[in-house]
Amino acid sequence: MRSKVTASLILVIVVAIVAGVINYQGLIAKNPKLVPKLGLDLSGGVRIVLEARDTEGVKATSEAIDAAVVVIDKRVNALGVSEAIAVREGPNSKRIVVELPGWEDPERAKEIIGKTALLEFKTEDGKVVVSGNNLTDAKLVFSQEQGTLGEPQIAFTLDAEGKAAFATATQANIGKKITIYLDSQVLMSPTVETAITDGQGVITGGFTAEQASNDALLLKSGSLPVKLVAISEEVVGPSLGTAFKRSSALAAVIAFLLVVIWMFVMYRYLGIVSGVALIVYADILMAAYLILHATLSLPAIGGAILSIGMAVDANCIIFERIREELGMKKTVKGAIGAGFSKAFRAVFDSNLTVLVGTAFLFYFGTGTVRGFSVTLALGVLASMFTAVFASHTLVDLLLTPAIARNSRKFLG
Amino acid sequence: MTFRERILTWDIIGRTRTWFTISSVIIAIGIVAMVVNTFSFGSPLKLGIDFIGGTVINASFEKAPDEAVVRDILSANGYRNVTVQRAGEKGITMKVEATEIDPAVSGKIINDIVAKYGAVDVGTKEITSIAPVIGRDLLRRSSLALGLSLLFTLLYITIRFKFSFGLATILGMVHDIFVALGILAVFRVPLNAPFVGAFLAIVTYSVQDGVVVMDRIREKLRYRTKEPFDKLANAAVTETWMRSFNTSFTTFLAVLVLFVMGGAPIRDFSTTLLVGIISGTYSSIYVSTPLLVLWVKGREKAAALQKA
Repeated sequence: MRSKVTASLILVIVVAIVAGVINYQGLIAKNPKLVPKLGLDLSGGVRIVLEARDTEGVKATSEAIDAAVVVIDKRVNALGVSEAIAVREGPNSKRIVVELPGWEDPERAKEIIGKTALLEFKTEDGKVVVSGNNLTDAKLVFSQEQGTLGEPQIAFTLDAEGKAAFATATQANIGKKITIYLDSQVLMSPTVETAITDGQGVITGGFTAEQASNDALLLKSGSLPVKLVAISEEVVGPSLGTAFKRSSALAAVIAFLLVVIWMFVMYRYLGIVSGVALIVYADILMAAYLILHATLSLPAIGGAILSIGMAVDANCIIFERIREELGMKKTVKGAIGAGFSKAFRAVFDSNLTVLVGTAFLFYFGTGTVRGFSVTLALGVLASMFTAVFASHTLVDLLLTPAIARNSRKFLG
Repeated sequence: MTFRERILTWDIIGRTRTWFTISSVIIAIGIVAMVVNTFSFGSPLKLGIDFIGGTVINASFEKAPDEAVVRDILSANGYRNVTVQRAGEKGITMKVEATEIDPAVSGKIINDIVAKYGAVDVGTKEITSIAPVIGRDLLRRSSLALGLSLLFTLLYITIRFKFSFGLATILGMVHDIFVALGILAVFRVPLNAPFVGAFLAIVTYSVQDGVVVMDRIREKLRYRTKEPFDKLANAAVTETWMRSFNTSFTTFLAVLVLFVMGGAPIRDFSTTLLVGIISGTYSSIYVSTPLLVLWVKGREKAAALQKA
């Protein structure tokens, strides 16, 4: 018996310390691998849902949508948003969800994400000689030439294939015009003077610096292979997010204190045990969120605060059971042993029922439902661990001979 | 006699009719509210823009915008049926339901207001624009997920306990869902995506609470002598009453804090949870267990008749 208690105690301490280190790394040391992932409602930012539409020329095939996701992903990362996400809503969905945490300017985001950005160089007879796919680099530069000095331009570099094609085309079209189109709009239409063989050039199109830098970013990321239309947008200002964050953190602390006070009133020493168990529980749960990169959004935090209450449940079941066993004139020690072992089945079944439910919610649900089921399942697992290992060990530790003689002090 | 000892003398099962009357009245009020809502507003519950689609734009500007002017700006951009309301000192809320403001136009609307009332405060700007098709999708998929998860919970309880236990627990949960929906219908609280979470919490809570009571009945059945089933069930609920109360009360405290501190965005969410917790605790003691007793006694009577 004694050695079993020692083993559980060591297990609980090791798990609690590991969890503590993870929490320290994620919350205080801000280790980038463990920093908590906040939902849009807490971090502020922009979320846009795009839907692929068929056009006359291009069908919104599954491959095209996957390719579009890759392009959008490149674009949002080029914007410099940390933790930007672009994902397809589901394997057969025509929708792409883009999230930009911390971003404030939905207009610029929509402009950059939704634009096709198809660059084409066409000869006078309408033949496409080079397209945006042949670009390896595009960047904003400022004209160094007399007359246009300081005007924003896009400098581009072509890949080997584009370089060859461009060289042939310029050679064949000396004295004629080659027109550069971006999404079917004419950017410029210069007359070819000599063959361009180095695969480099500048586009001047009367850009502003911002346009030129946006377009360069788009060209570098590649054009969208399918037409996308923004159908939903959500914008949350950063100060709203901060306010939510602060109040929900405070709410969690107050809820914790109230629960511990109530448990002490009801169960005296055992109440303190559940307080300590609750700290271990919160410690493990937070670490689990960080490791699994669960997104903390408003409903998820609501779920977490709810789970504080639910975590106490296992303790209530066990303590009430111990009290009943004490009523049957058992010794304190005997009552504790019987209480834990008899209550175990109720704790096990009620928690496992919930786990079965959450598994199906996760499998069939989306978005909010999934986030909720992950939070809840983690909460159930953490509370089972603390109820089975931490509470029992703590109760055994508390059981000094003096307490064992005075059971009223023990349970109130 | 202490309070705890007094609980053990309560005849909960004997008053089944009282509990069923209370539940029926509450559920009936909710159903009447849903019927009235259906006739006067077209749907039993008020669905928010997350489910029916729509747009809400919230923003503050340097000067307080005038509602009429903002309405003109919106109709100039092609949106006539928009609710416009002052919000806070310099803020304004624009809301349109069932059809969304095209994300391509929302920026222009804000720019038009900026032109008249000065720069927008980006810190507090909020836009939520949901296409109706996305909202319907969310509603359909969440209901499907909920339904299937209930089915498998029933299956699990049937395996671990008995079908009758599972059915009684699930009926208790259906009771809780109706109570919560009824209250939402009476107060016409607009349902949005977080409510999916609140409902899941209620269902989970109800099942968890029910299983603990059922576990005690199962345990008592194992040592059953000649005791009639209703006495046995009554002993099980009275013995677990204090635990049910304490668990619910601690959860209630936690959610109450969420309600007080959370502010407007989660007030409706936490109210739903509070209702669900109370109803979930009540139903596992006063609805599921009496139902189980009715079922088992019915079976016992049928078996006795067959023997005779």
